[in-house]
Amino acid sequence: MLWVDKHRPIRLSQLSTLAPLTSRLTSLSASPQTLPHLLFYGPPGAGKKTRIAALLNAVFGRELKLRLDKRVFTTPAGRSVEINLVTSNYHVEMCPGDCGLNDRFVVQDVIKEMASSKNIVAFGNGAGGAAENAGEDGESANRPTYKAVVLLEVDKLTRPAQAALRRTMEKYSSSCRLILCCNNPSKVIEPVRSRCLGIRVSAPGVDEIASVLKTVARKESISLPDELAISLARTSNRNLRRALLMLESCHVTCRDDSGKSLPAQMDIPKTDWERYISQLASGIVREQSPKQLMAARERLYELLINCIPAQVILKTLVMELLPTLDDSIKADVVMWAAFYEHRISLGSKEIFHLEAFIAKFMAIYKKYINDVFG
Amino acid sequence: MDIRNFFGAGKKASPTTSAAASSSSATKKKPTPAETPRETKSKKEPTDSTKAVDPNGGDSPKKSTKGTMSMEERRRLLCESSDDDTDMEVTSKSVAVSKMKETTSPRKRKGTAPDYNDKSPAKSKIEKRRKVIEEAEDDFDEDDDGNDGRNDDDDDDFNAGEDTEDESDDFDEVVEDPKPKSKKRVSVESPGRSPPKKRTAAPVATSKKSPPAAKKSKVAEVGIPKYHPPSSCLLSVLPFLKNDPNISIQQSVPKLPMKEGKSLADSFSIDYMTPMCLEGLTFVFTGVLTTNAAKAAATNAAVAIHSPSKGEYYQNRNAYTTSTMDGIGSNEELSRDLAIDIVKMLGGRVTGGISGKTDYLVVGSILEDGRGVEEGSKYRKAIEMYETWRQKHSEDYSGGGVDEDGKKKRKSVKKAPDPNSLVEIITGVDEFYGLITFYSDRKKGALPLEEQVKLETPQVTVKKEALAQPNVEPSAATVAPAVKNPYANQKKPVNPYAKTPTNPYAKSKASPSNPYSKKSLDTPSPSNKKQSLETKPVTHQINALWADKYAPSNSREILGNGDSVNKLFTWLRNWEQQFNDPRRKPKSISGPNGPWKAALLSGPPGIGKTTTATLVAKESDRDVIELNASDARSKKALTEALGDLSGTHGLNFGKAGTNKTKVPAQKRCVIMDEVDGMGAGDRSGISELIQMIKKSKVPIICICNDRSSQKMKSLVQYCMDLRYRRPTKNIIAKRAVEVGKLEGMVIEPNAAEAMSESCGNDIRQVLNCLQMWSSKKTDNKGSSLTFKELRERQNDINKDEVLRVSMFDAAKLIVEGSRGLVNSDSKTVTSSLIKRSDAFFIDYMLMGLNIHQNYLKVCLGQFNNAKLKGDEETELQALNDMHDATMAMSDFGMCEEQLRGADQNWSLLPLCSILAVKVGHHAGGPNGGFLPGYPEFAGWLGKNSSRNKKIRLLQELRHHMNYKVSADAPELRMNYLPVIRQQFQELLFAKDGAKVTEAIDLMDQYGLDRDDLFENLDEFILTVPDSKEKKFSDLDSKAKAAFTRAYNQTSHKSEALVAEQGIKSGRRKNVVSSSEMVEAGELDVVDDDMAAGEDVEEEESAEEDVEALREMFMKKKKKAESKATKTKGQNGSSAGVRGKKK
Repeated sequence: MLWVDKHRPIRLSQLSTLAPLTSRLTSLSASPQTLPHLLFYGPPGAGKKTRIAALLNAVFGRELKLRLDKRVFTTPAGRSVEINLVTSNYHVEMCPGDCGLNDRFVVQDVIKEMASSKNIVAFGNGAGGAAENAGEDGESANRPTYKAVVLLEVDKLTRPAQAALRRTMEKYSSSCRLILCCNNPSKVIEPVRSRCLGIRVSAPGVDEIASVLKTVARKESISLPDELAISLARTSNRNLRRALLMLESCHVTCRDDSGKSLPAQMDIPKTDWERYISQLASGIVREQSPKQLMAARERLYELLINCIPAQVILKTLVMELLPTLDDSIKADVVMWAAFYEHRISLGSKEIFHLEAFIAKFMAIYKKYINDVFG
Repeated sequence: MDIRNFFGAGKKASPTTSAAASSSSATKKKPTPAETPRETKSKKEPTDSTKAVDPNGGDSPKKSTKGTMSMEERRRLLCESSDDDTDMEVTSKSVAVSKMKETTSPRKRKGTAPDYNDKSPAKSKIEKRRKVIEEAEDDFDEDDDGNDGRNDDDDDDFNAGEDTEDESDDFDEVVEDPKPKSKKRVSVESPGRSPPKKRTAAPVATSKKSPPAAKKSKVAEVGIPKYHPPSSCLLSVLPFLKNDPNISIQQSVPKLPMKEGKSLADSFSIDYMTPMCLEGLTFVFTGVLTTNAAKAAATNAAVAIHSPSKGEYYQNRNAYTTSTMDGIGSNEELSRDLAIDIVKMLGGRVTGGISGKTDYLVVGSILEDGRGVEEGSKYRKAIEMYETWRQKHSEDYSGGGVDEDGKKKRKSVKKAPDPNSLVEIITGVDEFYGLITFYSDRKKGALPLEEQVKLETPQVTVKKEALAQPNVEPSAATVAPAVKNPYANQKKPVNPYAKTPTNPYAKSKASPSNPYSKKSLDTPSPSNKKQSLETKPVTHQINALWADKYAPSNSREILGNGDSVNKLFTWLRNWEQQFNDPRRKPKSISGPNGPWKAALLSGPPGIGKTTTATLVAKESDRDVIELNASDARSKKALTEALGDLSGTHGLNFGKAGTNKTKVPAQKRCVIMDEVDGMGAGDRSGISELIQMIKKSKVPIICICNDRSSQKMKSLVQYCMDLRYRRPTKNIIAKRAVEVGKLEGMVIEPNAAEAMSESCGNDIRQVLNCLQMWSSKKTDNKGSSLTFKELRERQNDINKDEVLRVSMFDAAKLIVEGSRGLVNSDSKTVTSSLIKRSDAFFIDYMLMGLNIHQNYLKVCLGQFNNAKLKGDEETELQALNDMHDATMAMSDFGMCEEQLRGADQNWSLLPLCSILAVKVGHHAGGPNGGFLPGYPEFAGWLGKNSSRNKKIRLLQELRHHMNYKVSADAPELRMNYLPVIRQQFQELLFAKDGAKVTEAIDLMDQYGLDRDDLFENLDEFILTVPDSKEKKFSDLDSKAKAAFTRAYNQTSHKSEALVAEQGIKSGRRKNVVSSSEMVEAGELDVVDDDMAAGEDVEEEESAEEDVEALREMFMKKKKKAESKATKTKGQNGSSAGVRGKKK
């Protein structure tokens, strides 16, 4: 199992980053009955899901046993749609966005159905299992009677689905708590946001990441030099998951030579798509012409097909380009990148905007070259 | 090119040289006894007149030149200073002309001279002229008038005279308005040669006035001369041809003389041209037409003259009128379309490529893509043809030679092949106009005076013709349909259905959409249609649709697709023998490779599929039962209607009215029209039809429009495939003209072609259109349709045109931007813009994507052009344009999202279309771009679908890994998968053999199955072409087999897999929690296996076999097993295998 999963904290107390947030969550979980709907948001790799899981464990007072489940429902149009769930006795976790345009029906049918029924275990506890619970720990009275419904990637939900969500949240608040998780809260409609307690999980700082890396390395009995830890943390863009995976990747690459210790100065292996984008970048710096743009289009298509989000492509591309540019045009390039990133999020055909950015870059760069050498 | 250069030099030759040449030519002429007198006389006359009238013109030569010049020329000249004359080249043209006129008798000339004198009172003419040409200078006016007014048809003499005198004429032939009153001399012509063919036609008119007319008619015998521009290659063989009466080569281009003032193009107006003057001539265009740098600084607003009341339209369309006003000094360009229009309006034909029939190749200065004209294939071909001709025939000419007197021997001329049959190359706009003017004048000379006077309204002649052609002659083919209506004749006696009111099928036949039904209805009163048609082809069935009235009445009249018709015939003829012959084993099945029991006619509407089917069936003596979309054609209805028919054969019907004797079995034929229209209401209609075809004892002809549609797929296999193509426009035009004749409507062939084109070669629609036109009668004289009229309604037609363009052509249109609009006026630009934005709507769902796919290629062209210039700034400009285009594309994307996304704001669609046009506008640059090749189809769709596929795969992976991995899909892809991949590769491609167990362990931990590893993981890797990235599928087969073996031996209870595949029981019953012990055991087993494999090589192969068997077995098992049941059998078997291995 990868380290990132192997060493994932499962209790709030094990969380090593963002201490203030952790303490707040701990206090929240202390009185589970009053837990509001929650909206976790923050960049990827900051620990949102880890925190949700830890919070749930704390709220329900035990480590939840997960199982996979599948729900099939039919849309009004007569199509049957499947959705995968991760369930336990106390909670349901799903990603309605997977259903694409049918997400509204997920919310309307599946969530509503689940939300409207009480938590069976809690029910049982209330009736006959009280004694048992009491025996376990003293907080049995405090034990929540609701189910937790965890919805992932809420920002990918369509408008109608989000609208369907708002009523559900109010109506069934006695029997369920919604825990929403997303990267970008601005894509969640206002009414839903206002019904939730927003919890921002910010990306951990570089030093925090570095210390986590060190901890993991120690657990794996690998010697990790501080320099490498820091540089890993930097390259990971403060994405803890990424940092851990990169660490493992480093470990794998130099496993043969150095065994258990990693060199302080080593090239952190890039992922395939990063390499691909940097080739793209060098291509457009080398030559500015429609031909090159056509070649770039093919590469962009490849990247998109490979499920790399357009925003990531654009961002990585700009980051690749910037070091090669003169200061005088950097600002311009970044400005246009932002311009088209905005458009990407507004439009649906990302390739148009990516292409436009590259065309703009070519024009800017060409002008610069002309000014300097021409 | 040498040749041309040579001539070019000739053109520019100083007056002296030209004079020398002329003199020589003059001398040559003299030898002919007939000519000499004529020449001398004519000489004198012109000179006199010029001298008398024109004080400015010092030289008689100059004057005469002017006199002979075309009207247009003269006008231009008027604006210029008299000095210009010197620029004009003296050519031997005149010589040639004079020779051609050898035949004309002296006396005629004499006659002319007096005429001239009488008719041209200079002053009166000046006045007239002034009305017309306000700007003209007086002195020149006099000249012109003198020449013009003199004799209308007497060009020859006149020219001859001039020739002899100064030989500096550009145009030998002068065709003028005989009447002093006529305001305009419409045409004064280019080098005259023999009289126009048509002169003979109007002898009366001319004769009354003047002897010259008579002369002309005589001259006509010589043959029709052809316009040869100064640049003609023929000049290279001039020595031989010079005196050929059939050839007169223009030695100078009309435009050349003008230093200032408008170019010919400016003053050219089609309104003055004789209608149909280019009849019978074929043109080919190549390159961009420009006036040869003829600039005009002059004040003269010749334009004004050319804006007669109706001129507005043409002015705007013809760039030369309005644009010249402000465009003075610029290189004018005559757009190809416009040039083609001009030719067509004047009755000429325009074709795409050079062939033996081509008369003229009009070349511009450069090709559209920037190469020189000389590189163009058309040009090369023309030259080639010329070379061949020359090689072949130069001997003849050389043999013929010229005798001492300079006169050519007639013999040789006769012998020589007609050089006029060559493709003549017309260079530039000026020559082009010169040519038109030449023909116009020639033709005009043939017209009766009144007509010439009325020339401003070209329709007049047409009308006349219309009148002249009584609707009488029923031209064979076209008229015939009406005459012998097969339905009237044949159907009546035989077809019981037509008559019996009780006939169940009658209903279907009576459907309005079925033309045949109408005819059968007519049968009761056959007299009105049939007979009336026979006697007077112009029918009085005013309410009949022409499309029905002139529908072909037998299969030979069907236009085009002769192959298909014949095939259908043969098929029907052989049908009985093939399928119904009792002696042969009945073939009930219609297989994919025939023999077919049914036929499927497919093709676009309006090209006669139904007609063919019906006619062919009739003509092979079959009874037609037709079901079309107006009938219910569900399974039930089909069975009811046709069940008995198709199942039985040879029904007997007595003739109802006549003798009751037995009639031989009537063969029948079922026509299923519009099968692709069998839609939702006709559930299972198609499958029933197929069943019927299989059982049928009657041939079934199915007709559909779209053969490739999904619906037709099943049917297609059972039918003989007959595809119909649209007949070409010429065929349709021919038929249309014939029909028009019958209806008393005069249709120009060009107009008919244009109409056919605009109707998309749909005969039915053409006829409908014609009928509509016919109702618009002019002057109660009957209706007519001219190309010009048609063009005047261009806007309407264009609209349809745009909508009929294919999606790809539309994309091309949009992407290329404002192509070919250089220097056009704002109206043209606007209409082009509208056209392009209309084109977007041809398929607004896909157009954006198609444009996206193609616009970069246009950018590329622009960029390359810029690069050729080597200027960094222009390159940058091209890049900026490219960005503008991509940005417009990006705007388009956002706009589209608004209208297709959640908001569904479809009112933004027009904005979308304009944004799309904007893309093309920027991509094409200011002058429009060029999209090489055929437009590609939108690649986005394909990419998007493969993207969706991968997203699904990724989701599946995530589902498998779900509760171990916290990442969402993109994170999984970006960060997890590369590392997981790395891990597995580390394990599987390890140097010391694949670490299978560990790999399987890892897989189990993450809930991946074998397919995930070997197939799905490989999907998520971005590789550069030359990368050496290892793929799991590259694992060598031995290792893979080992892996599979190991994998299958264990059970994998990751929940996702269990849910998907059911629980597989293996030796290992447990999962993660209690794995330790069992894992140890399992490891042993694997080790043993491996050891065995290594030790005993030969055993390995046997083992592989067993392995394969076992895998198969297990797969079967897997299916058989329900989730819950765990069979012990598998355990047993695997144990057995293991035992055996050991």
